[in-house]
Amino acid sequence: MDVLPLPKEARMGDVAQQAIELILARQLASGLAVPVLLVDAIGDTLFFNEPAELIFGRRLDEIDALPFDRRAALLAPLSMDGEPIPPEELPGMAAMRNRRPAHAVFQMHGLDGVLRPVEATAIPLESTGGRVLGAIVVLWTQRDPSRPPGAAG
Amino acid sequence: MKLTIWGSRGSIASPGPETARYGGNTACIEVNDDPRCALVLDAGTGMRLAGLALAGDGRPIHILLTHLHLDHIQGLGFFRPLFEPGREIHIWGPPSTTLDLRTRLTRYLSPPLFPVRIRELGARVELHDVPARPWRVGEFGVTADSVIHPGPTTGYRITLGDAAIAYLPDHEPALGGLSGQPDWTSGYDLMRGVDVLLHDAQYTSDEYRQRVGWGHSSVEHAVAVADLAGADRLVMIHHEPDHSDAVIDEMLTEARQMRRGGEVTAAGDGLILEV
Repeated sequence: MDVLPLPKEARMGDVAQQAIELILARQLASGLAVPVLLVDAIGDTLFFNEPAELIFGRRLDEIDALPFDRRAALLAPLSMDGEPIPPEELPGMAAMRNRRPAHAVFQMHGLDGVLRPVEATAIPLESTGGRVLGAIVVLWTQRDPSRPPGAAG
Repeated sequence: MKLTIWGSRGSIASPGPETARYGGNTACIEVNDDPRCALVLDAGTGMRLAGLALAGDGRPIHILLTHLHLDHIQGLGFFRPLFEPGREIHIWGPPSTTLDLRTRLTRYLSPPLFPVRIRELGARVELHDVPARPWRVGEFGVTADSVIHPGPTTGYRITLGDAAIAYLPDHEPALGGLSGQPDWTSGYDLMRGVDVLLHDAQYTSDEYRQRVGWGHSSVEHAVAVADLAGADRLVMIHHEPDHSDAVIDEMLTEARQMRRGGEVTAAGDGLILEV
């Protein structure tokens, strides 16, 4: 059967549409009250919702692009004992690498420089074709008893 | 590229005097002009007529299924080339993580739902999951990509020379948030810059509000994605079975008023489009 690669059509322009699983995940995240970060298959930031802006210390619209390496350097995650955490051990990367949910409790700096204790659960987004497209990371700030429930910061 | 629309209705066949002009057959489009093979998009009840047109000419036929809902496969068992001994027929469909295409299709093409099994047909039938990368079928370039609709569903982009069409008959891009950002719009890569976009326009805006999540678009949404993608001509397809010809006329008028740059046509059974 005559089935050949199509190099020209494989490069369909400079605007690459995201996979629908990521589009739907972003739409879901944008409607949730819990902080959510969406990353692509190499960990680059695709989206975070308004509640997550409080944790990251910056609005999404203020950030042009936030590749994984830069985000990891800025957030400088630490264990609860204050030890640096290798970026690849953060829940989003672990979830994609192991293709199973991952959870961690740690501290990280917001883009505003404030160190915050957080919990994060990441779920890998795997397409029907078996490709890992990214991860959706739900975050919680560790509850400060002096603040009302739901307050991040 | 020559497109013959054999079925333009969505959900369920709806023959009758109220639908006589646009037709009542469900999704099936023949894509022709290649002496080496023929393409057929979806296998709804319009496929019986496509089969009569393609019977006996001996060319391999590639059937591209967007998904396996009944209105897109019900005509398969009535496609005459499938009963021609030795006729080469390829059926392409979206992959699933659980069952292969043959297993899913034979749930319908086997007793008790249908009297004949695929293996009992005269034609040489091969089934394929659509590949993740574009591929070539005869002279046609074909690209498949997942689009928003319940269950595994693909849309198609087909090119022949400089001509390009996109076929997304079951598509609810609004569920992903129609923000006007191409990279966050379901189906954009398939639709971008095509000459003809055959797109789901099942509902009026009022109907859509009652049916969010059912997997289909309003006229407004179809026009929005056509404009965003820069499609020259939008062909409204997958008509709501309860819509009479008069209602589709009204929806077409509304679509033409909303369109910012490009033509709009309503698909009808028997319509031929030259691209």
